[in-house]
Amino acid sequence: MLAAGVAGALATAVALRLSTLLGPALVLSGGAYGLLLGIDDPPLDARAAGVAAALLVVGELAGWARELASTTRDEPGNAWRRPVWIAVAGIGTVGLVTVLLAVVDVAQVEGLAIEALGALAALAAVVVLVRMARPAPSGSSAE
Amino acid sequence: MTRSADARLTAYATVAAAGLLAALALRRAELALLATPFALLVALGVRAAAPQLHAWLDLDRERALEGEELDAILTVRSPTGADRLELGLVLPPALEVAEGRNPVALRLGPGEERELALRLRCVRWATVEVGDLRLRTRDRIGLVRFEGRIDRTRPLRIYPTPEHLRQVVSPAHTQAATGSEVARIRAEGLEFADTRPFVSGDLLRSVNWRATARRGSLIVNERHPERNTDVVVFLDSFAEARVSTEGTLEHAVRLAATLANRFLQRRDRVGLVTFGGVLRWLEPAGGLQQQYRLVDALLETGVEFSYAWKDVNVIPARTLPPRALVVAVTPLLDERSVAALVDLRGRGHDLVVLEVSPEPFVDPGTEPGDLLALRVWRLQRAELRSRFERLGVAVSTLDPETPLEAALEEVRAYRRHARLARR
Repeated sequence: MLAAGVAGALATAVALRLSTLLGPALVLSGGAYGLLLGIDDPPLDARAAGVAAALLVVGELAGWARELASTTRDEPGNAWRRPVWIAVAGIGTVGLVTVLLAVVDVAQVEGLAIEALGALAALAAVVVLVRMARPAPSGSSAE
Repeated sequence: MTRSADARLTAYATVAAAGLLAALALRRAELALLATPFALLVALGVRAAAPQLHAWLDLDRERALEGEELDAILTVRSPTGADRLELGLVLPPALEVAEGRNPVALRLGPGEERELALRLRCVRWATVEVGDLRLRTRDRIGLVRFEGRIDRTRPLRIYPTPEHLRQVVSPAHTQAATGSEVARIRAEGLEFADTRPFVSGDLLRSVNWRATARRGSLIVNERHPERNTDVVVFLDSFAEARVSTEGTLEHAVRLAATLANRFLQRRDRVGLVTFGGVLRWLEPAGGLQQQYRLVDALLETGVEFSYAWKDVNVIPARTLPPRALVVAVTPLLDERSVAALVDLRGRGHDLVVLEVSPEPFVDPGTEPGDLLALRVWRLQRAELRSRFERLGVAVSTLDPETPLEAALEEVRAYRRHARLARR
């Protein structure tokens, strides 16, 4: 059902050129993976790295396709940047999620200390995200 | 610059939020880990700052003729750098790109300045503003777009290309100043007119010695002097027939510019009346300055819709001097122009009508009723032309393919025969 939903959302997005359907399609894909986890119930699924990379690469490819569909052509010599970025993002995602999976695997022990460490790590992650999301102090202009 | 989120930013934020919520609900760490790279990218995207961009356009000149090509340099500089800058020059319909890329996507390093060469072709006459630049760039990962506009326009005047004319219409009357038109009166000049007996006060150099020897008494030559004329170009801008970018007005302005230039070359005084929703006029004068004034006034011409009835009385009297030749360039589509021309003729002006035919711009239709309507419309126009001819006004019809020289020859032939008929 979910797979059919994902395929339908992507097909509609492609046919109608609706970029807003990209989000639901990715969420449905992730939902399918979550359902699979619920059914299989493995201790720690190493396939998460591949799924994350695949979802990211699909999103980036969709963005690149929209860029290519525009009338503006890149200067010669600049066209390779986007595929290289997509490849780097995909490989980086695999690496990042794999490292995090290893950390989670190591930290899967019971105890108050490890719970406190987990809470601190979550807080630190939120702080890092907020600091990163704050716009850089440089000005913007076009004249 | 306007900041907007790419569809991917929304999608990634949705995936990150849904993944984290699902991880909490299902108590599965994998879903939180799956959401982590998306959350990181969203954070980086939101953090992105708009780049600083400076761009401007330089043209190699401010005036050009229809069909000519201009060199334009588009300079863009960014102190902060831009990953993928899409730069587009918005061109008015009168200009098109002959060579070069527009729009173009380029990458600028911090502090880098780039010059992009463009060659622009002037498609049709107009007064245009060039330099409206549209910019679109994005952050390094392409999740946030920045769009802006730089409006440092500069004027460009595209003059209509005048046709080559060997001869124009000779006016019925000449003025007192020296020019290129052989006057009908007899006075000091170059063109031989007749001989007559010598009278006191005649110059010795005008004596025709051969005729004197034959007749046995002094005979002198009479000559036609070369005088200038006053010409008023009457441009009808009440209505036009148009198909996309081409219409009767474009053609009419080209004809008017050609006539004005040719008459000015003959040292005639040329004036202009643009008779339409907005009345514009230039009093007759000669010289290069007047040529520029006329063409600039013609470039401002447009069809302004108006219900107001206008007749010849609204034209300043000094714009239509007595004994001036009035050359009307009109599609004969509006009653007000027709009435004004008939009125001018009634007031004794020497009038010539150059009809810019609207027929090439008319869709005849395919239904029998359409074809019948077209025939009736053509008959009405033929009757209108014959009405002018009955008033002694030469009417010549031009379509965009007809050279002006041919139309003027038709006018000259009509006026020659009309003169014979008068005699």
